[in-house]
Amino acid sequence: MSFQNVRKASQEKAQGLLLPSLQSPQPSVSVSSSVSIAGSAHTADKTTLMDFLGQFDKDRPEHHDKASGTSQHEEVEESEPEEPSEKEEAKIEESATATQPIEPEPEQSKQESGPATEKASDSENRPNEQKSADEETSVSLEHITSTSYGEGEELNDTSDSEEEEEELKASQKEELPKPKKQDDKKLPTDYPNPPTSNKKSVVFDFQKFLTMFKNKQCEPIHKYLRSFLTQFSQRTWTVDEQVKLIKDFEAFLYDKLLQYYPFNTIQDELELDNCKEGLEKLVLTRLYSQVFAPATPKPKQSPQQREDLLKDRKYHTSLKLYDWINPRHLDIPVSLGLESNFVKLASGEINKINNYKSPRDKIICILNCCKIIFGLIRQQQKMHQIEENADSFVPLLIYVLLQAKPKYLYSNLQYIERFRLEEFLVGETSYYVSTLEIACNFIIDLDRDKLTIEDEEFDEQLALAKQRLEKQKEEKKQRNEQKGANDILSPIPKKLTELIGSNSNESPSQVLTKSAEMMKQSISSSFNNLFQTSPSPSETPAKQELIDIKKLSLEEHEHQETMRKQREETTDALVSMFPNLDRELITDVVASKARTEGGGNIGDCVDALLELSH
Amino acid sequence: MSSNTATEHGQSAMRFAQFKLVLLGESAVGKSSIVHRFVKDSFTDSRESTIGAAFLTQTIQIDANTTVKFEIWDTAGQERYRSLASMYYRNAQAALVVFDITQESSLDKAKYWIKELQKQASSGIVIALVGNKLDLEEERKISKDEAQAFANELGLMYAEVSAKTGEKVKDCFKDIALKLPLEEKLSQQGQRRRRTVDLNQRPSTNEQQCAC
Repeated sequence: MSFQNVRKASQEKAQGLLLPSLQSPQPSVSVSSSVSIAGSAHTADKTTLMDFLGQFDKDRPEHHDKASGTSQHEEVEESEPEEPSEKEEAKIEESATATQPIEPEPEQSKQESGPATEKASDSENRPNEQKSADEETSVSLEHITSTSYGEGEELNDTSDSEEEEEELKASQKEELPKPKKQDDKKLPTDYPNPPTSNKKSVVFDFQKFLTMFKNKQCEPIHKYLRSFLTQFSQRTWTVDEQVKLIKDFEAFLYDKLLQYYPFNTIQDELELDNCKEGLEKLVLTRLYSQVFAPATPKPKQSPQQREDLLKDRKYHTSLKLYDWINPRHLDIPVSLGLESNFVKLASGEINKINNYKSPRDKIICILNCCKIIFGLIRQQQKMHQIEENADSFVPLLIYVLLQAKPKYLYSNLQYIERFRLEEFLVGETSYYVSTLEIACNFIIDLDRDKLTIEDEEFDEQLALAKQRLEKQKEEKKQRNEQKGANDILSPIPKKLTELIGSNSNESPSQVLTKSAEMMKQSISSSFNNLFQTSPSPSETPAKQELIDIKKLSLEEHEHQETMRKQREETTDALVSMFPNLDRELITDVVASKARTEGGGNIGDCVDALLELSH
Repeated sequence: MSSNTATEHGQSAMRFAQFKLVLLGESAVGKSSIVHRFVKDSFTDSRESTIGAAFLTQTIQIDANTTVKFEIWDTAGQERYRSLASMYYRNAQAALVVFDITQESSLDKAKYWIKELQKQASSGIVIALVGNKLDLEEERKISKDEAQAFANELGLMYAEVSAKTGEKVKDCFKDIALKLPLEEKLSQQGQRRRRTVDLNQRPSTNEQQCAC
């Protein structure tokens, strides 16, 4: 089949099949489409996939009902046909800006459906266009038409234990929205770039990807994306299902993407990687509140996610119980003087992990942190006879974690392991992610035997730490009780004030992003109106584009400003770390690194300055 | 499945395979020194790591048209991290378990790692027991025969090297490379898992509203 035909067929499908009930609410068999993903023939995979298929079936809404209006919920949503690609575009825009973890809003998923009565055998219906010789699995990504972003009533679900509630609220209310405060350098468009290697590499350019992605020609892709996101949000998947679904969909969408302009013009391998990165970030940013355990509203958490959170809780407790540990307890032959600046800097990097949603961005925070620790090792090498190896690195990494106390480290690592594209989680990256897992697990299971310490000192320190912890818990409980009472009264208005009112120190674009995200998650019908300000949703691409461009340029400006601020802060830190170097020189190094690496990679600055200071 | 093009094109094509090797052993036995020596001394241009020297890569040519690249994962040798090391074994195809020939206790530790590997690592893993500090022959506490016998018993490779002088270091890695399942790896690499996707129409099924 010729390329033209393929393309035409897919377009037809996208327009005709993916969104039929949006355009014409007919009880139609063509409402759902399914996507099959083929690979090598593993029978094991097939089994799981069939199970999975069944689950999909379970949740497929009855479209006849929808059309005839028996499902009230859906009828409301359907009453206004939408032009999804435009809406999609708006959301894509949001994804670009939503690098900040945003407080998850519980989703109303009232469409829990009954068991599947039949499993569709889809192989017969498959259009031959995409038939591939080595099909293995098929995942149905059938389309349903209503988003189920709810109003947040489930937040007040009190069925679970108090403790858990407390923990969850703590995670949702206090911690996730906060990073902004400690790290106001972060801007929507700001994403990190990795330490450079001498390998040929391109700086990941998400903005560029989005610009291409927004192209009108990619409209069918927008529809696939939207269809998938909608379908995904319909129920709570197990973690394994999530991984399979998302990876399969990413592979599917990537293949599709390359059929459309401007992506079909890409020749360069690295540019193609940029697309894969872009897709991963786009998809996972949008699904973050469903796949990242700490951001997932409790009612939607899967058992595995609950387990992750349990580990996080253990980890957080350990951090609090052992916050008194000093390098000596871990046999770190480094005295703390000048070096503490390295530790601070490394802490700052690892703590950014919760500011980002995409696995790649999180990984880069990890790599930057590791790189700074190696900078410290290199600096101390001569003085303390330490070698640059795992023996010296692992204890320092643990020490940095104990100082930095990055939240939800366990969940973050699980998330990375699960959702980072396998082809990118290799080699050095894989090594440092694994090492961080080791450090995290070490902290989770930390006890007396794992430290170099006298019993007396240990008992004393631990008793003191426990006292502090108890006190904190008590305070937290009281705060939450008050909060809980408020929530029951009026969850949404409170949200609004929280988001817009109390964050007056945020930049306009941040508020915009946040409120937009909130709208998306909580008031789906209003959301439709919000992004369809024009009477006819499909006829104002120019207008929409203009809004997009304005938004972009605003963000770009903010971004520049942030980068400048960030460079200043970096310079300050570095000046204190390298007192023997001239401030001007350090400023130059920071500036030049910022230019060349696109993100002002701090690890590289440390490297360069270490060289200079010798 | 497209098989490896290198083998199809016969002798003239270069064959290239990549393997993960974990480095195990007590802290002071000089395990990372062996690797640093290997990485620095080899004739192929050594690739600096991006982050730090705990993870290094080095290629080695085992014959005229075959190159093997090692991804070397250093592990922390201190006792307190022991139980966590299995995280590093995942998908390792080779392991270098290092002891110090002048330190009696270090062989016991090595034996522990070997047991661990045999329990937890993938079954086909190539394990080499390596005695370091050959340059300190006069201080030797562990006889070559003893260590060799132990290795033979468990079917491991055995080598004695000096990270300090570089003696036998490269040979050791080359021997490991020769033992690795090269063909298998090549055909794996050849199969670029390309997943294609199908979109098709499906009839709708009945939705049943949840009663709750």
